[in-house]
Amino acid sequence: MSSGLVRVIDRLRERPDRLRAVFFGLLGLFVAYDVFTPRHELHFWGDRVRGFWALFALLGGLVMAKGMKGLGHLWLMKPEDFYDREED
Amino acid sequence: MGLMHPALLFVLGAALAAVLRGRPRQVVLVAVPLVAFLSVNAMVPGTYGSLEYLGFRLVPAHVDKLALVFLNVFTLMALIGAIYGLHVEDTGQHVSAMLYVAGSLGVTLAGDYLTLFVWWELMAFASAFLVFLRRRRASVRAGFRYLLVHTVGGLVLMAGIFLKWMKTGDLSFGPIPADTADLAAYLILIGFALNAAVPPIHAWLPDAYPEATVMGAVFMCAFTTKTAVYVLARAFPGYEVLAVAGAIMTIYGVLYAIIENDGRRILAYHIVSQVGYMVCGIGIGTALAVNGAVAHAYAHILYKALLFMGVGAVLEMAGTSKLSELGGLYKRMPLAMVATVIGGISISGFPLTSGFISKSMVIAGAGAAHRTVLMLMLSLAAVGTFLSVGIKLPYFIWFGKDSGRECKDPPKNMLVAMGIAAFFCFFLGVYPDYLYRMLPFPVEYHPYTAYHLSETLQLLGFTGLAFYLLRKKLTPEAKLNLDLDWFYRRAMAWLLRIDKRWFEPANEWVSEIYRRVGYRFALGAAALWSRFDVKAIDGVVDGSAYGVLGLGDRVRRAQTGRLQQYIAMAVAALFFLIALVVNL
Repeated sequence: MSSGLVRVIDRLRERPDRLRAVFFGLLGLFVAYDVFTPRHELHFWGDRVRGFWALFALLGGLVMAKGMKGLGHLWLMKPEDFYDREED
Repeated sequence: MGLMHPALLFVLGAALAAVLRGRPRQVVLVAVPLVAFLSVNAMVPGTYGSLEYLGFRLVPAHVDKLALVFLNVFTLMALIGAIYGLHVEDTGQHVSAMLYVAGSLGVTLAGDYLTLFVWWELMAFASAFLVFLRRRRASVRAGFRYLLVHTVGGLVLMAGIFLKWMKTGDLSFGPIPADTADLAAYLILIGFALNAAVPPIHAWLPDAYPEATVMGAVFMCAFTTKTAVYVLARAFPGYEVLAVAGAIMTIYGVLYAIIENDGRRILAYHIVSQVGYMVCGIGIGTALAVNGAVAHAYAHILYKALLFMGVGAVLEMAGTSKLSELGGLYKRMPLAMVATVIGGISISGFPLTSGFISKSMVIAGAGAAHRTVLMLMLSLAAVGTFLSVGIKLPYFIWFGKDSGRECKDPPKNMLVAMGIAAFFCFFLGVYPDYLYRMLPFPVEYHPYTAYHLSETLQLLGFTGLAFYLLRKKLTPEAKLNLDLDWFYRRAMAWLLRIDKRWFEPANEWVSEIYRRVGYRFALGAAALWSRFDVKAIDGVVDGSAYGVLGLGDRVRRAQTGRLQQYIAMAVAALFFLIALVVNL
């Protein structure tokens, strides 16, 4: 079973273009599905906006990743033996 | 209640694990949690075996719906953890794990604070050994830090319990309404919150868990924080401070997970984040939110254990859990990969997995309580979760650039344990009523609505897009990330150095002055006594002259050069003077 799984993954990795096309196709489908999804329980204004959570996730993901990497390089990231040198 | 208090069953199991070896021990390791799981499922709510002890009313076993759901998942997790560690020969790890689970079950059943405190401390000490027993220098140090932090937390908790006893004379462990909360209540809350890893008292968790043994981390990720969630849910539902702190936790944890390099440390930060959902739900305090917190604790224990088992298997088989040293392992450890990916999609809340039916309950609880900001924070944390554990972690371990590390799938017992946890991830996702029926309040929540599905698919899909756009930037870096443990690792070192550099010499200097000046003064005083004696009194009363010489000698001998003795003498002299003045 596990060798079959490895073969499937190998195949997929050989065709990155198709994978990408499927991925973007799915993203389009998700937004399209949201356009036609009925809203029953609205908690706030964003629930009314079609595709709100797509934008929220994209922007949220980009800001968190870029922001934390930036903060890491600026301040948080230290050499791996940062404490060892002190504690010895 | 069943045959035996489940915590005592585990204590007995620990004793047997200490003396038995080989197959008999393996039988005990599996039989104890299995019997406990079955007996917990047969438990009927009620209070059992309360007794008077030294004027305190102790309630070792109080069973209600809230306790039962935690007992259920704790014993199930103990069974999974035991199977995962079956191949481990190290007796200490098995004994520690058994006592650790005993502590957790003891706390869950405790009906009074004294009983709770005893089991609480057993948990802290037993789990510290799961860190020590990795026997690396870094682990021993991390274990001591872990123990020290928990000792401080235990002291705060004890102070709260004492205050409560002094004020009310009542030690029963139950809800404390937010509007009646006093200092005692808040000290108890802080003691509990430390174990729940609520920032800023969270850093012990990502500090210690990645340094634990492979088996130890699987146990630790399940019990300490979730026992804390249980006690918070019992005593402090509806506390605003928990609602806000919980929402901050969810984001704090994922932000660090995004930049962290060590796989197990990423998972540790995600405990902070996921426990944040539970703490927030408890803080919101409505039936839906508390139900969500409890459901999420149940689901989280299983998928987080699955993740720790998967990454632990990588550490055991490939020799490292640092992402910067891994990559391309799907060819060599495909089954461990499947397990980790299932854990990853569960924690991210994919439809048909346990995260989908539990995390959304807390978020819906925040929405229904009109806590929009909290709801958005929890949703943002969900984005960060998928980004770091759903995609980054598996991508850089199993795919990405092939590291060429020689390894293979772990032993069968580890795979079986991962299989059980993976089964529950899907089982709960497909059949949520199994979990919902156990929750403390009646459930009127349906996770599989069209809008919730749409919301989740968008969140997951477009988080994937964010990762795709930033995949190069997100390449893990072999760095250490500063967190608040800096305060007790670096700042304390500085304080010690300042002490060594300034205070110790100052102390020595003052002592030296006393040694030189004080000693000479004493010598001079003695000589003066002696001369006065010879010149003025000698010949008149010989006996008194010898007496004065003796006094001079005693004054001389009193100069020991020890600062604390001089201070004591000064204080004694002061008291003597005051007494003299008062009497006159």
